[in-house]
Amino acid sequence: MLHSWTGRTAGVAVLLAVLFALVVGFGSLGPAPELGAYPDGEALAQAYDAHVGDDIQVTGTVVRTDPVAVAVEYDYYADGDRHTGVLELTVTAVSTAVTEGESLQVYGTLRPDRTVVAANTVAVPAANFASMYVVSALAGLWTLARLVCGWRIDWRRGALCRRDDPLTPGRAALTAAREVLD
Amino acid sequence: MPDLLSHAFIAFTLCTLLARRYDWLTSEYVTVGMAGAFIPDMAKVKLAVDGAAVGAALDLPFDWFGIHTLGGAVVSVLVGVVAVTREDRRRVLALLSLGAASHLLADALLLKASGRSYPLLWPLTQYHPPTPGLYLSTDRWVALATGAVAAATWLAVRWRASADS
Repeated sequence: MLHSWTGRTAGVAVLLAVLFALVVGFGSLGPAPELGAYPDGEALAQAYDAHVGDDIQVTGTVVRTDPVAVAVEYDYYADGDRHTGVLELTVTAVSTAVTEGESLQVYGTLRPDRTVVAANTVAVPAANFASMYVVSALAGLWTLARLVCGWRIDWRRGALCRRDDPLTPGRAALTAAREVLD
Repeated sequence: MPDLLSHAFIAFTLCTLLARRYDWLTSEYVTVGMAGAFIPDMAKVKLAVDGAAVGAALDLPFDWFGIHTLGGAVVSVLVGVVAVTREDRRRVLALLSLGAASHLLADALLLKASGRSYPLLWPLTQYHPPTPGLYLSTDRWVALATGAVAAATWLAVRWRASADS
C-alpha cells in the first residue's frame, strides 16, 4: 500500500484533507483565558466592549510614546466578510522605555476608550525582523542544498529516494539542472 | 524560535549526536531531521497568503497557525513518510518527528508578555503552557549560540570518528 504513484497520491490527498480540516478547526478557536488564550487584536476588533475588564494580549507597532500608543493590525473573516484594519490602543503603566516604530507586545487589562493598563510588555526593535527573514532564508537554502545532495526523485515510483552516491554541492547544482531539463 | 536557522542548527545537532549511536543515520538522514524542523513554520505561508483571505474565499474560519501545532505537525510528517520508499519510512518518520518536535518545543520557550506560550498540543488541548521566556523571536544571539553548538558537535563527532577508525 502507498508504494505506487496512485497509492502515494491518494495518501497525500487524504492527509492534505486532514490538514485542511485542522487549519479550519484552529481558525474557529476563540479566546479561552483559563487556558492562557487571552483575547487578541482580532477579538478586540470584533467585540471590544465584551472584553472590557478582561486580561488581553495584543501586539502592535508603537505610534506614540507619551502616552504610549500601539497600532494593532487585524485581519479576520467573520459573518461572511473579511475585516481588515488598525486598532489604536493607548497603553498605560508601561514600565520599560519604548521607541516609535518598535513592535510591542502588551499583556494587561482592557479598559473602555481604547485603553490597556499594561501588566507586562515586551518590545522588539523593528530592524531585527528584517535580519530574521534573511537568516531564515539561509537556513532554507542550506537544507535544500543538503536534500538535493542526498536525495533524488524516483519518477517511476513517484518517491523520494536516497542517492546511492551522494553529491557534493558543486555536482549537485549540475545534476539538479540536468534532472529539471530531462 | 527566533529564526529557521536556529531550528535547523538544533535539529542538525540532535541528529548528529544520534548518528553516533545509530550507524544507519548518515548525513542524508541528518538532512531529513533538519527538514522536519521546517515543518511547523510552513504556517509562515500566511505572509504570502493571509488566512483571512483564504477564509473569505472559502467562507470558512481559517488560520494557518493550525500547522504550527502537534496535530498539524503529525499530519505533515506523515506526508513526508508517504513520499519516501518502504525501506526509509520508519527512519523518515522518526527523524521528521524529531525535527518538528524540537521546533515546537523551542518555540514554547519564547518570551511572551503574558508568560503563556502557544497551544502546541492542539487539537488535544488549547492549553497555552507557561513559558520561561528564554528569548525573543528576533534575538540574533540564539542563531549564534545554536550555530556554535552545532559546529562544536560536528567537529567532536568527526574527531571521535577519526580516532575510532
